[in-house]
Amino acid sequence: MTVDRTRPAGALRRPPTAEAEAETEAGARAGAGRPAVGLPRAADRWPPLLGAAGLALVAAWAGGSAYHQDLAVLFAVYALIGLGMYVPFVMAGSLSMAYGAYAGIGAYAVLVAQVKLDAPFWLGWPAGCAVAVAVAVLLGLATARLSGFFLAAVTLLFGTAFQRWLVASEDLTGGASGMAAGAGPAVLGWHPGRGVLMAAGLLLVWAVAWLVDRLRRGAWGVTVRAAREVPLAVESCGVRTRALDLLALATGAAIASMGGALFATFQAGVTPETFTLDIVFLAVFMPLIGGLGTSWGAVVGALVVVETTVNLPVLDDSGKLVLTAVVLAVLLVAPNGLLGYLDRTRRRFAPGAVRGGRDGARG
Amino acid sequence: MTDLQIWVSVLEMGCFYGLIALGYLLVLQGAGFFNFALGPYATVAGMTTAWLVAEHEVPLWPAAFLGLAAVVALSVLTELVVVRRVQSRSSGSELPALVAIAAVLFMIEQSAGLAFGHQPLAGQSLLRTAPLEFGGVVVQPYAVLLIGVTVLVFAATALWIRYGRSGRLLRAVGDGEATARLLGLPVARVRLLAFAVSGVVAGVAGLLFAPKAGLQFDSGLGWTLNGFLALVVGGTRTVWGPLAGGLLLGAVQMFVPYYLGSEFVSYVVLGVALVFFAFRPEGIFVWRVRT
Amino acid sequence: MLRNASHRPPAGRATSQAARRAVRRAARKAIRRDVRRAVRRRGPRRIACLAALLSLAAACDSADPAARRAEVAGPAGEPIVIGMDEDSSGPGASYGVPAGRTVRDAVRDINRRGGVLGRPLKLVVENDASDPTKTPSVVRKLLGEGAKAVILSTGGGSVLQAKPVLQGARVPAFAPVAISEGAVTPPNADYVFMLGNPISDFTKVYCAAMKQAGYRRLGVMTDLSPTIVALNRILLPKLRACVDVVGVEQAELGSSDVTPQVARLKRHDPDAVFVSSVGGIYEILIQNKLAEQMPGLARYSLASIGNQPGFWKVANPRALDGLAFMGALVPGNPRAEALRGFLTRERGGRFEMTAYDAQAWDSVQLIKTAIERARSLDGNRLKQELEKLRGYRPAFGQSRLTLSFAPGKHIGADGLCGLALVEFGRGNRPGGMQHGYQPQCG
Repeated sequence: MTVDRTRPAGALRRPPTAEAEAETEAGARAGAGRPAVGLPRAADRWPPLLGAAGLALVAAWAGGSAYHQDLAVLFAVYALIGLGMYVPFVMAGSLSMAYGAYAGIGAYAVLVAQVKLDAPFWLGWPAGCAVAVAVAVLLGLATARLSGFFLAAVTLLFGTAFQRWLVASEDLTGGASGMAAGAGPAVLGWHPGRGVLMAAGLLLVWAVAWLVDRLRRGAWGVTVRAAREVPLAVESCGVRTRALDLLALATGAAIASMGGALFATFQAGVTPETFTLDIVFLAVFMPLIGGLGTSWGAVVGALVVVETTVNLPVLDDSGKLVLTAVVLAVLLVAPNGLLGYLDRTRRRFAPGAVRGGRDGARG
Repeated sequence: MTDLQIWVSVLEMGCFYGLIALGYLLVLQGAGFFNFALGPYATVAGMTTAWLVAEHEVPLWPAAFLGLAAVVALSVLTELVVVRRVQSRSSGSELPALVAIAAVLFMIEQSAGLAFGHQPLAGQSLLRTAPLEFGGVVVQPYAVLLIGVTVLVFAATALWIRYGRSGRLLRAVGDGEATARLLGLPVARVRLLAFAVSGVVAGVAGLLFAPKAGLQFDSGLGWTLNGFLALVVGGTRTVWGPLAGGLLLGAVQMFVPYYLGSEFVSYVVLGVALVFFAFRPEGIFVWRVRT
Repeated sequence: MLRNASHRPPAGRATSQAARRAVRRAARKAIRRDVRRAVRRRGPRRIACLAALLSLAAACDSADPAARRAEVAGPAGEPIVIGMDEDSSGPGASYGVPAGRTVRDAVRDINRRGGVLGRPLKLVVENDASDPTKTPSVVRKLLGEGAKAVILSTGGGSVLQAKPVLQGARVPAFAPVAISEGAVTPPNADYVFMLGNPISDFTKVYCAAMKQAGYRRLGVMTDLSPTIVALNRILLPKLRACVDVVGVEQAELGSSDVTPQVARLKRHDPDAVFVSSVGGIYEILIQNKLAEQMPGLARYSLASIGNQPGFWKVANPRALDGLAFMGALVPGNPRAEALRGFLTRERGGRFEMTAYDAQAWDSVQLIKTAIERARSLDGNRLKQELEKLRGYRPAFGQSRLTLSFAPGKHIGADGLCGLALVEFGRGNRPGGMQHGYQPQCG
């Protein structure tokens, strides 16, 4: 593990597996060398609790202010898209940039259900997930042989084509001016208020982040990450890496579509320009800012994104620029992101834990 | 005669995409890397010029010179500050460099929006004569300049790569950076040169294309994608490949809306990308696509 | 969360802002001089450095948030907050920005003259980039900052999304640049007001003009911005009712080339072409190509192109010749002349007034009048006072035009004479009223 210190690691570099494990675990690992899979440990308990506390703070900040509630929901939407991107990006190492489209599918599903089918809004949630998963699998099959720049370019072109399709399919999607639901969402005649919806959204973020983190460190996650590093070895153990990649893409698409559905439920409207390519770039940056070591990094990243691009008055239009500068700085200087940096600082002041962290390398 | 007019548009679009693709090719040769920031470079050249002329009354030619200088500076900085450092520690994986260049792309777009405003600017034409007309086909002065300069740039690059000392060095580094390093070739300098030259090419492209439809701070992403596609379609075997790819892509983008309707362009372009990336990787180009 | 430093003495703020502006102006001049000198000397390093400086100056110039969120100073007392949703970066910026600028000037003018009810007006501004999904948040933010009335200087699609929020908060709003009557038709339309004639009035004028000129076959070129798509839903059926629409071609915002679309239109051999666009560079691209490919063909357009002097000069030479657009600024209206004089003094130099300026100006004056008559800031009272307004004489339209509101009538213009068909003459400048049909009052 000393390698990690003497040679500052690139955020996404591909070192040998054991080293990579140790590095990506850095954010979550606090106790002494314990087995990675199975037994409960401090790392399992603290991040969800801290995350819950953080989200509760966000909810308290939003309070009764309608505008703050908008921001809190925007944060939840970004966090879900970021978490969706995190799954294939960190686990399978593939940078698919079609996430604007997946979020769009989720949002349109909710509104199509309400406006076109006269069905309850919540039917749009599973429907949107299903469509997003189907699209992700099809796109994944079509691009199975592509990686890196080629995959990024194709998925960006897909995002553009999808947006154009939304504009052209006026009968289904309302065309360029989009769709708006007349009444707010209702569950069996009960109209939840904006505050309730916001709280539900934040709760969803918590649950998804927790699940993704469990997933990442569970047997499946370890296999997927191993398949990223040494595909041949994993393939030779009888695991089909292609299927694993597709599964990662599908999971990510489902999560991102929930982000879109949350937006559509709360704002009761969507247009083809709601989820633009800008959001895709922001979604790539979110896990990086927060740190790739844990799924909570994407949540922290979403908070930073909303704060800099929307909320901070001094930044105004320059928010996105500042944000990108932060991303480049993180890439060049602090490859483990904010959470990784915090964790390192913490461990520096707790010598015992440092040793534990070092021993944590998979033996 | 309408069809001939569309061919003029094909030439215009093709030359522009070809130039961007040539920029890709140069960086690919020198640094083994696709510079996705080329589209925004082109925007910056056009916008700086247009903004200097329109808002600050700088004369056109000095403004164009400043626009190009800004782009070369950006391109060189991209290599020095970001790409070189990220590549050197990513041990062969291209994902870190990809994420870094995506951040650079987004950063240049946002800076352009901040500096020049978020509204589209009209491009400044370097040639202000009456349009040419041949039997009902109209060729605007900017198009004459765009097409002429494109041919010149491609010819000059071909000659440079073939006969110029630094051009041959570029090819040597492109054939294998590790070997070139072992042979004691000035790899770092050659890479820098590749970035600088590709910056000039992208800047010229943006400058000459700007009068056609104006530019906006975020025009660059589309140009990045189309230039990349032109490179892949045309192949990297010869310097002229990107131009061929650009023209082919231009033809698709002009004839699809003419025959099918404008909404089909993005679907067909996506289809072309999928087919070429996945099924025609060998023969047309020599860079690795598959994993 | 309040963005505006309301605790600061307003006068000090204004001076510091003016001072900052002066410094910037001086710096810009100095830089310009230096560039010229440097270019003469051809010192490349110097030029590179200057280029960096210039872009820095540009960044400061356009990014200064205080300048964009212009607060205005004047009489003492607690300020009355007016909110403005201004599209300053989206497709509607071409009309949102000029209108927004005049709103600021109007507010400053009112404050200089003693404010409203002895209190200063304070303007808070947010930008929704004409993105309808952003608009509700932006309006909520304005309301959260205490806005008692709102000016929606943004795209038509966004105005639609602002309606439910305004209805829920019971705060009146003016949409000075909106031309789609969707803004004031139910549901949720109790608090939204428009000044000028809506798009259905536009179509009456176009139809009458085309009938008089004997045009039967109309080709339509449209862009795909949300505002225009929503507008076309009203516009196209009405045009179809009076002429034979032989083809509708679409171009995305940001298209580089519309030759294929124009070539398709040409195949239909129309008598005239109608361009439905947000204007700006998008429309210039279309008009350039139409003039190049179908020279001499009659062309009609919406209002935007006629109100964007900055874009006339970037069109190809003579590309706008003969283009007829829907003007709302009519020669002979004394209030328009007075406003032109005022704004020219405010801004100095080469100011070119548009109908957006006039309508933005009138919106602020109507809000002021309503507050004064209601002697209260309660939204419901303001709305009732607005609905009692009769015979207001606006700075736009023909000189006989009056504006009146009533419950159920939230569009001010009384009769068609808020409109005039204006034609571009030589040199890409409006040459005056189109010969032939012109709308009449009453």
